[in-house]
Amino acid sequence: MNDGSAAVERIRGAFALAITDIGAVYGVPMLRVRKQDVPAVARYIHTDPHVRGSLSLLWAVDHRPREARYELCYLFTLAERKDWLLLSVDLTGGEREFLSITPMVHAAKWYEREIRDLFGLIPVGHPDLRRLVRHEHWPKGSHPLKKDFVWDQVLERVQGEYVFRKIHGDGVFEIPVGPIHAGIIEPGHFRFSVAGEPILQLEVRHFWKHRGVEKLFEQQRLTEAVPLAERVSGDTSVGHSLAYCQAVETLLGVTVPPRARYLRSIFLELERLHNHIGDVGAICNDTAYALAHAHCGRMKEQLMQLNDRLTGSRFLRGVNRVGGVSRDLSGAQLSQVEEELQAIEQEFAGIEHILFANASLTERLENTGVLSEGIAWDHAVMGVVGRASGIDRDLRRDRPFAAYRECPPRVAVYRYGDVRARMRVRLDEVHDSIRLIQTLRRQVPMGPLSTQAVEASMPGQWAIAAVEGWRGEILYVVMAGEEGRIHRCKVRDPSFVHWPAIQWAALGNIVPDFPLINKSFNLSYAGNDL
Amino acid sequence: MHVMVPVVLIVVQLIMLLALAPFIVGVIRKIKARLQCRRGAGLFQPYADLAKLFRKQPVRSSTTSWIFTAAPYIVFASTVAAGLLMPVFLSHTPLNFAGNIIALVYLLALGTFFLILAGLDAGSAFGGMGSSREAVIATLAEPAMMLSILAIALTAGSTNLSTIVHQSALLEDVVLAPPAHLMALAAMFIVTLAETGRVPVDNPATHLELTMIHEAMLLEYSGRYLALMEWAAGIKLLVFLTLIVNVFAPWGIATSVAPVALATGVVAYVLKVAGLAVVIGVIESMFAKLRLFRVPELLGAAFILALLALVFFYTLRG
Repeated sequence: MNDGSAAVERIRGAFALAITDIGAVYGVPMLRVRKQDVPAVARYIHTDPHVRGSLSLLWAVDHRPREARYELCYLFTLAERKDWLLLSVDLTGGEREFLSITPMVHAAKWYEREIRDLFGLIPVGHPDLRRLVRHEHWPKGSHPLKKDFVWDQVLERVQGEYVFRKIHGDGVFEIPVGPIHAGIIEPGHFRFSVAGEPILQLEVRHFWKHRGVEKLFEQQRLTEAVPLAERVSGDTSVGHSLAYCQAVETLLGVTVPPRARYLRSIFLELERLHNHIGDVGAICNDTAYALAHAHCGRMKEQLMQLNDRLTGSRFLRGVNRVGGVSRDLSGAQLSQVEEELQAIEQEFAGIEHILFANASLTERLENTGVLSEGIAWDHAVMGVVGRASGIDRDLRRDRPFAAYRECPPRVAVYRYGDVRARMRVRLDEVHDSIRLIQTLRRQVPMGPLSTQAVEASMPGQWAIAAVEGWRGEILYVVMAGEEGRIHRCKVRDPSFVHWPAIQWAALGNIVPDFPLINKSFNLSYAGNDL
Repeated sequence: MHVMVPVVLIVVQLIMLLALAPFIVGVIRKIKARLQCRRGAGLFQPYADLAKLFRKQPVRSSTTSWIFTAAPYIVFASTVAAGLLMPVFLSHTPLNFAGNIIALVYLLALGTFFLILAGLDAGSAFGGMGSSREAVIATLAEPAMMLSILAIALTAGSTNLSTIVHQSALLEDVVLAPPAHLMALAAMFIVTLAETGRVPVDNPATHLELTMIHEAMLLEYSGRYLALMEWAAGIKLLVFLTLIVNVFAPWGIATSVAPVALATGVVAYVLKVAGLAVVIGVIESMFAKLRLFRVPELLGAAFILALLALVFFYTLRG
């Protein structure tokens, strides 16, 4: 695939001097930009009506010990054909500062703070330089993704205080929620500023479960890190392991056999299915409509038991490997899948009918937690949340992987951006996932399950892979190190993008509606905190 | 009549209120579970929960005052006292001289007041939120409740609950002015759902602190204090259900202290409140919770219904 050549020409026309080199990373054009020109170029890509690039990923690499430089890479998804475009800038000679693009490209906000925390590089001009990942008890100078940071050291605990944004005024109160919650959910802190019940401001303070995932990747070999990727976010094992495998396969030049591609799609859809059905039930439960929750919970359990019978894992762990898949599905198993899914689809249609007929439920979901298309675009929102706010993006269609070129999805897009729209996207995708699995099931070709991946020494080479998981776009950047090791692995779960967006969706709503809004996003804390 | 009889009757009524309240809670939970195709916990699980809580050591936040420890006792005592003022299985409850329907309403309000204070006392964000919401709902529910009871009191010509219940129990055709009665009943039922924290006003089964009303005020409680609060909530629910079944459908209630009449009264009472608990369980399964800002509208509707009941009473009487 040749991405965005027209856009590259436009940008080169506009910034002849700023661009020092044009290359490509496995078909994705990459512009090397002079350091001082990055904000202007990024702004152009973001705002030019013919380019309209949405910032999909921003990451840094410490090239030591091979080269004494840091590199920052910006990945944009362009409006036209959803092509990709890369910007790259080097920081050499001990330079620790780079120009922030956040004032122009809002979606860079958390990425730049993350880079500051993990690499100690300072985004000059960033409007909010509080710590994001490194909570205040981390000692000064501890930047774990710098190559001279020893991965298994124990850090001393220091004192420090995070300062929340304050809203001043008569009768304005702050409600702190979490990181310990009454329900069994992951740790996250939400700070509401309210006047009575309406929410004036919500600040999300996460990263309580930073496990050093990206640093752990750097201790692993390219072909052996799949189990780690599966555990980035436990409910998205297939999505994350698939994205990781695809990045490594691109890097090692491995062609995945057709049967494996089909099985990968089936597994990914099975993962989408049980998560979406669970979410529909959970959304209903937060309106105290426990009936739908009970039935969706039962169907989710049936699907997870099906997963268990098919692969030996309820969460579909261990199905992907570099070069293909490690679990085969026999003809008998595939017909079992068909039977069970038929039954589930019928039951689910019944529940759906009840949901649409229940006015009290609809009343709760409509106009609650509206994320407008404009704000969604500014934050580079995608996935289920984006499609509910009119952002028509789906990697399965836009950059087909696995067997989606042969079996494309029907992409459900709604415009209202409220809880109901997010629920409807899920409802539609449940039906489409079942359709996809049934189609894929009939077309699975015979053949080997995987290609042997041969480790090659290619230090400094890197590849990006993207998978449309059930939440949205999962991105992996894998850079090879010496002797088949990983030099750098950037993991991006869609939750990292959607958490800042939820702060906007909550505005103007009343406090007791926030759990419902949160559930309609259903973001991962682990996948965000890394 | 032997002088001890009234004392015995009061004790029996007290024991019934205390003993039946957890069962009613269990019935509602069971119905909800069955409607969700779950087996659900046993009908007597709430008793086990209370027993467990009474054995546990209570934890008290160091920021709380005496209100925090006193509140459970006040809430419990005022709710039980309210329960003793009204007829349960006997139309002439021995304590009816102690207070009329208005006393009952304000005994319950006293409990609510201290519950609200207790929610504020620990100074936690959720407690304050629960208290402010409870205050709004209690304020809006009270007029609707008073009006609907007044409509019935006018029919009976007395604000004394025993007189009201006794009179309608003795009547051949149970209700005097059916439209007025039905509207007052509807108003009273809505008030019951609001005052006892049921769906669609509050969700007693949620773990989401931000959405809570009643539970939010109890978040800081543990051990026997929590047990008392939970028990009191159960009794309050029972008091409201008793009011509804005895005022609007006093069929079967004992009108004398004859043993047969008393036995019939007890059986009829238990069946009626259990039946009403089933209705509440079904309603909780059918509806989603209202958006908080819609609750005043619901209570406004209850108020209008009660007002209409009064209007109908005067117009239909001629």
